[in-house]
Amino acid sequence: MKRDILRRMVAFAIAWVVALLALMLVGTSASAAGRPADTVSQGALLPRDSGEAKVFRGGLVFSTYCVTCHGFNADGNGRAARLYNPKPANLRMSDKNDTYFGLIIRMGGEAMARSPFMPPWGAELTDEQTNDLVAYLRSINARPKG
Amino acid sequence: MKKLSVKVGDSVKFLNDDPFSHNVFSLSDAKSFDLGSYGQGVSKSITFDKAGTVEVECAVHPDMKLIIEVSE
Repeated sequence: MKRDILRRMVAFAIAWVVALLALMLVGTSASAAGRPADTVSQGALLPRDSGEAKVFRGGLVFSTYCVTCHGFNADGNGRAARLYNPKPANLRMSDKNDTYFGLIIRMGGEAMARSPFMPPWGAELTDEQTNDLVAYLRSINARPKG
Repeated sequence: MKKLSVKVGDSVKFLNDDPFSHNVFSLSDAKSFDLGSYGQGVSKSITFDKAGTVEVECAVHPDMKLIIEVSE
């Protein structure tokens, strides 16, 4: 009698565990099905035209081409800064607008009456890279407004 | 990496043969310089007045590097 009751209790417990596992599996697949496919396993982490994507790509451009002079912190203290007087601009504190950034990146320092040692990047960077770089510079600008 | 050996007092001429600009510079102790950005057909020279190893780079193309060994 006791053994029979014990068997029933074990069977009941097993049934509960199986039911819970089934519910968990159904819940997982339901939540995956409820999301857009590109956020489940593949697809873009950042939509290509989003501001975040521009800033991310611009950071890559900066760290490839600009960091030698302007430094990783964009404060004008890159490893080549000691060659120049005046030293490279502190881009974190720049008061220039996006149009100015775009112009000096494309045309170089000399064309903008700034340092002749800043190369013109117009032939090297695509328009998208330049625009991304401007977005990155805007995102790291720490100059107080007003 | 490409290498070049010169003597103290020698000059090296950097001729830009490419249809785009280069910006030759070095931050090495034996010789620090920046020739600025210049286009196709233009050349600029630098004289090496101290023995040592000079790592030459291009500011526009971070992959371009050249080692110049300057000996007495």
